[in-house]
Amino acid sequence: MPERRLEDAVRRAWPAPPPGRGFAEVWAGAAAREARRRQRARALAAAAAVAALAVTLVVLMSTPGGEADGAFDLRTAELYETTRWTAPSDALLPERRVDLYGELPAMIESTEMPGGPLL
Amino acid sequence: MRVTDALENNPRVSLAALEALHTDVLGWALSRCDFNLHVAEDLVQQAYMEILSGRARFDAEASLKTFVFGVVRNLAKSRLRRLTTRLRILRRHAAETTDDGVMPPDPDRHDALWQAVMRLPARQRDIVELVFCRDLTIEEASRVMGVTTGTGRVHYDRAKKALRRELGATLEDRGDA
Repeated sequence: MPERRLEDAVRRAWPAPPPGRGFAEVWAGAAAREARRRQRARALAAAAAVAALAVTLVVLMSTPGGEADGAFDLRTAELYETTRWTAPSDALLPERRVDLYGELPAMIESTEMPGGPLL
Repeated sequence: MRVTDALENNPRVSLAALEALHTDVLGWALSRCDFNLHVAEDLVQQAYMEILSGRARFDAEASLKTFVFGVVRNLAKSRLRRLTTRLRILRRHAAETTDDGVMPPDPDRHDALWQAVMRLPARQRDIVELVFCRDLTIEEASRVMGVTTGTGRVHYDRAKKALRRELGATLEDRGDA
């Protein structure tokens, strides 16, 4: 069968597009859809930016101030702990535990000069 | 080259040229989606969206027709991938709905020639449609289908041989041959 006749036969058998919406209507629909898509994308981008900002603020607010603003984080219990000193051994001390805050430690006798204190 | 009624995001595409192609594009879209008019129109509208926004950009390497057909084909493939997992549900649902979007059954569609065309493998059927019915060359049709010209030529030859084998006698009887 000649190619031309086969082509004609197939072309005749192929269903023609039915009368649907015309180009103008389809194009207008496409333009409207594209505008809606852009609007949605912009809204999504804005929401993402707001969310990122909110997360950043929350993270910043939840971070302890501490040394960031130059102040020391003083805790009373820890501070008092630093005023006590405990000798590793009580062999040379009259009292093993000394409250540095309230009293000076008694110096061990062996450090005194034979003739009394120098000053 | 900048055409007079060119699109903002696709300066090589003119609205008039697209309008001239509309019927052919719709026909190509129809055969991408089992001849469902609503789906085909939606597919064409999506293709126009892609072209309008510039996401599908025409660089004039091929003809505008080839380019638009390629966009429709890619969108149809994407749609098919999305629907694959839901196909069974859709088919069951489709049986319960009215068929107002589907082309009415045409008695001619059941003739031997149409049956033979529909029995062709998908790529052979595509190239037959593109070359015979959409007036593309084999090179252009191959480009639309995303295959090399050599592969397109093989599909084309096999399709013709298959159609001749199945329809030779029928067409002789109808006086087509």
